[in-house]
Amino acid sequence: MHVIETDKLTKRFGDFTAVDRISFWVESGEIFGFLGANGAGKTTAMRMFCGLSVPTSGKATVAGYDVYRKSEQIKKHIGYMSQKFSLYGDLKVWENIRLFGGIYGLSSKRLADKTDELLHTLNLENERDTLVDSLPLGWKQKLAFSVAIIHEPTIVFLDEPTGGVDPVTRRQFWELIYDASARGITIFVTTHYMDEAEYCNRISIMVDGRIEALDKPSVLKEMYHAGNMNEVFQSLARKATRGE
Amino acid sequence: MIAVRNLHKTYTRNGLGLKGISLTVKAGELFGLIGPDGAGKTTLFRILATLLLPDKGSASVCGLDVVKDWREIRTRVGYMPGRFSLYQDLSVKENLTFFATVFNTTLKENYELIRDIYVQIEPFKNRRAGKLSGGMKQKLALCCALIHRPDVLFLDEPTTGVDPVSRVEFWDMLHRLKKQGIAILVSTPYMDEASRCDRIALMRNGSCFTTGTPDMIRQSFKRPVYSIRSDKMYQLLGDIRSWTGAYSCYAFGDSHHLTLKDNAPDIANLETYLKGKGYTDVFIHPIEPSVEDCFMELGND
Repeated sequence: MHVIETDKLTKRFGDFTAVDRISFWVESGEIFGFLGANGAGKTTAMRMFCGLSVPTSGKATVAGYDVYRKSEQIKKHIGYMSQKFSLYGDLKVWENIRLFGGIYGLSSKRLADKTDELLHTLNLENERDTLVDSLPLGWKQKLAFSVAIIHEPTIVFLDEPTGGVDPVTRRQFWELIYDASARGITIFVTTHYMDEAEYCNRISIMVDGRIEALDKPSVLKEMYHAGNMNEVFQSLARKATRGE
Repeated sequence: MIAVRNLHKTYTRNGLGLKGISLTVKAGELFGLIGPDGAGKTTLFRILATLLLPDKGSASVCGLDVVKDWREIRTRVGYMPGRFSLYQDLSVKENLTFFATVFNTTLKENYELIRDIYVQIEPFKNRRAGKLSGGMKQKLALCCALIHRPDVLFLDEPTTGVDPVSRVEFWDMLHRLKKQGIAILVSTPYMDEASRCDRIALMRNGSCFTTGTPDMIRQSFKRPVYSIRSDKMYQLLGDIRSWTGAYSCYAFGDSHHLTLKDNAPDIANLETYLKGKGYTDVFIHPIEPSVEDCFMELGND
């Protein structure tokens, strides 16, 4: 089954085409890296996949639901996390779990069970009443990710989850991603760290609103005669002609 | 241009801050602060930019004391904080004019200094700063920080959230500014950028562990490092860590980097061990440590 499937998906703002006829699919259980320069159209595309923005034309389904007609269903079957917005720092650990669990529609019984289970697996039982702001970054990230998948979504969207994060914490975070992927959750991730592109099963690179390349990292490196993903990215993204 | 001696600052809220930092930065030097979240990088910037008072120790910028001479220092430094350095509702042009006016100068007066950067944002001069993409915002913020021709630049994670192409361009600019004699103190979570600094300080928990050129720091790395690849990379990570000779093992893009324990068996033993676990196409070879390896090692000591 394809968790995301698009056909010539397009989004225009006035005479500006932010996303230009993209057609691709994401397989169930895969870790899919969605790369592109700032302004290439990644965020606009992600907003359409999350049911937050209606496309101008083209087709797309996410978790089997149509992005035009079933955006509310989509929201129930996806998770979302970004480095910029993930948890409320001035709420306690348990309050954050409760808030997000409630938003994702968990019943209070299930929420109570889930809270205990989560605190246990994250080893945060002693931090239940701690304000999230005073947790170390690595713990915060673990919690943010766990909360984003608390309702066991089909797919989780990670928008630059490791932006500004130090090398050690970044690697710990990727181990969480692998674990979730092994449990069958499809991962859709954007990143500006090119070593992280290597950890994806497949990646796409957007340039000027179009998907210019899409394949396994090893195939792309061969195709562009590059030693690493950074070289692949640099050679593609430098072709961009439109301003940011 | 910058001299920091045994600087202390404690936040009662969480116990973080600075615990005795010392460093110097010369004119025309590009100096990098590398450290995890909570290492104290932003605190150091804020003290040097005279926005925060230290508890103990001293610091001078352009030969001026950060406590006594704060007024004078503010006219001589440019500071680009991690966030909110621009007025989102003002256009590109309005932001530049605003910062120029605050420093009692004009865009024209120091145009030569910012020209390289300004020409890239000029096509968007009427766009609101809040509507610019990440890379462009950072270029505008750098322009604003440079508008009064400062002698010292403080850049707190200027390229976080910026794509790889724009990051390379941003660092090319820093190298041109440094040639004009400006001292630059910059923090970054990107290890490839650390390698582009003249000298770097590795920071953790408010202290500075090592200071030196990126080459010196690489050479001071004690343990042998190996690059390892095979067919099942994620599973491989756990299995290498369970090997008796492994001190640490981390993913580095398309390979894993293994550092050896002091009394580790011969590396051939690892190959046998991995083949025994059913791995095929195992590829092991020794490599020179990178700055990132050195940084990761800090977390283990």
